[in-house]
Amino acid sequence: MEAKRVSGKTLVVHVHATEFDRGGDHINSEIFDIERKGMDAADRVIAVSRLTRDIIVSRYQIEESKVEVVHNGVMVKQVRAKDMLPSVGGPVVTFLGRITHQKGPVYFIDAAQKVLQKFPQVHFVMAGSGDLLPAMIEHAAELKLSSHIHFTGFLNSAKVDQVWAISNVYVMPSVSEPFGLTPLEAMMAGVPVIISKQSGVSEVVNHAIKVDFWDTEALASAICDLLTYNSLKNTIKKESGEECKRITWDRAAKKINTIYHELTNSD
Amino acid sequence: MNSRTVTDIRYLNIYFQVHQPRRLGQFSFFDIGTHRDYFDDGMNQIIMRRVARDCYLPANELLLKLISQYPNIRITFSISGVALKQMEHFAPAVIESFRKLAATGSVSFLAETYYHSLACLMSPEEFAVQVKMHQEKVYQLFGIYPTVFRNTELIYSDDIGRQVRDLEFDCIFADGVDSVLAGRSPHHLYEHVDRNGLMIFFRNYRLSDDIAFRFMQKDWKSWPLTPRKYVQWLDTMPRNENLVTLSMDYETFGEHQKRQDGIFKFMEGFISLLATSRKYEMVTPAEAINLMSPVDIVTSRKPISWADQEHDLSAWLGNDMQRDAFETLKKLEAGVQKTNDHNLIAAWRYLQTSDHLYYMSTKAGDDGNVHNYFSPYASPYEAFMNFMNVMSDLSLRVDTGDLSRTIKAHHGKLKLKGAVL
Repeated sequence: MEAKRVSGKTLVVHVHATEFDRGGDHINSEIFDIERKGMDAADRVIAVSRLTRDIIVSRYQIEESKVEVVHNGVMVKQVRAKDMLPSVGGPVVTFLGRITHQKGPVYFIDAAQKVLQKFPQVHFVMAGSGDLLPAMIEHAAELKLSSHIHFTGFLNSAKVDQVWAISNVYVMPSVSEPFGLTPLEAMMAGVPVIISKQSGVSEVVNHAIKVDFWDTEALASAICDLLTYNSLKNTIKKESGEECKRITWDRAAKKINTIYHELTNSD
Repeated sequence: MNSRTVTDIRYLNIYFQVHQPRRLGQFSFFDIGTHRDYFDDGMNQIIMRRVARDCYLPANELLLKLISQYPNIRITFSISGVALKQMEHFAPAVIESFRKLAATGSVSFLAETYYHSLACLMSPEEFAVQVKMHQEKVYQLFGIYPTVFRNTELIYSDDIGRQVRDLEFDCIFADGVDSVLAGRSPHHLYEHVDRNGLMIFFRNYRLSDDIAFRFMQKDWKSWPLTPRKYVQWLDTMPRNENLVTLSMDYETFGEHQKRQDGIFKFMEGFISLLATSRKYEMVTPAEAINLMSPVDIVTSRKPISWADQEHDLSAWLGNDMQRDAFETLKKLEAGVQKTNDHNLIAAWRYLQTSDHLYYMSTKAGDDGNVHNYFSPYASPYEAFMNFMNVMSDLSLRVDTGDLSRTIKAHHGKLKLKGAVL
């Protein structure tokens, strides 16, 4: 903002997350004020999804016409085949991300409970750390599911590849996810994904199963369906493997470039 | 020149398809084995009444008006049994207005599978049963026993032609797919490759789609399409091509294309032009086969259809999920029949309606958009999961002998909600 004031140059603000994603309704008003001032001062705001744009417009009262959406992309990479794979002796359903309110870990565990009533041999992996990790471990214990829900803590990228290699389903039940790149990585690794409708990534991905984050019955049902009907799993794997290759950073960069050109040319 | 010879006249065979599937309700994996209803007849009622109001009733009324003015009009309908049943329950005024059309003598009805299904690919026995059911339903409602056949979405192959001939039909509709016509014009009568007496009408899909799809596309070079422009296209055809078959969803009028875009005006103008022209004569299929002979035989070893750009079965059986779902239906045939339980058998047949498979298509592009337009689901995966959960419930019933105590395969009486129509 200071740079804009001094130089008189155009300010573009990129928004990848807001205080509402992190805090839900319990926002920190200081952070909110800083975010709002930044967006107010901007000539153009670039949001990472329509979900984020809607928050910017409705919660921060930013003029709709200056907020554009540019979705994230994913880097194409080959997931290396693993020779030493841990085996848990049953299908694996995976949660991978920070274990915080925003990511909806509790819905994953509640859905796991429902799935285990139908398929007692399924295992659930919760990979990642965060402030809710202890609470989630307790919650799983309370439901007597500890032998089927495995907490790994934070994983480095080699370990993440291992997790992809053993996963039959990836679940991202985020409560409010500005974008969410992990599902694209799962898709690239050939893992069928279930994502919440409250995520930016659901705006650009067609070949995934989408549920409301709070609807644990629908989430559990989708997990069971994926574990039951091979043709469902195979079709999603095939289609989503192709789809994620089309969601590139190149595409995002081109769009941002266009916006920058528009702004500098109109001066 | 007042006297016109047969060669001066071009015959027009216009047929409208009327169909509404019986859509499923939400059925989760956890509903399997719980005896929940399969069908969302609340939604089906709302849709049937909306389409009745926007399309069936006003379009029928317009045709009735035109026919009373020009009794030489000829229109053919194919109304699926699933649609007829829902009209009887949810919009009886539509049945009444089709009865009035039937009474004019200007309107004929085709036979099809009652459930608008892919029974032709399932078993000849099941196919025969569904066709017979449909013929009887049409006769019961309209007093006309249909003798001309059209298969679900114009699916046709040599083998299907044989099944249809075995059921004593002497003509069938097929789509004028280029690969099958192999350079020949669709504007003639053709015969089955076996020369078994089964005549084939080939739809001109380009001219049909001009009305059904392109009419409202403002970026189409021929937009706006007027009746006069359309008839001029017919005028420019080679003189010896004397039979043009146009067919499309009846829902084109007022549902897929809206009244405010002028689709009813177009229909009125087009049919009036034909009715008053000396160059054209509208015919029913039965009249057409009395007037002309086949010019050639045609063969189609693989099934063709009027759906999607491929014009094949890929709209319903294009991906693993669709083939899996269809195979599951097929595998259940013997078991379901053995139960002798009427409600269970009816439920299995309602599940055969091709729309359920159509919703599971993962095609992209223009075709994908058309699939999405018709689908009540947010994605093909939801369509598949829902359908397969229902199928799993049904096969559980068949396996365990847990029959139809609570299954509602036939429409129960629904309370009418005042606000719906």
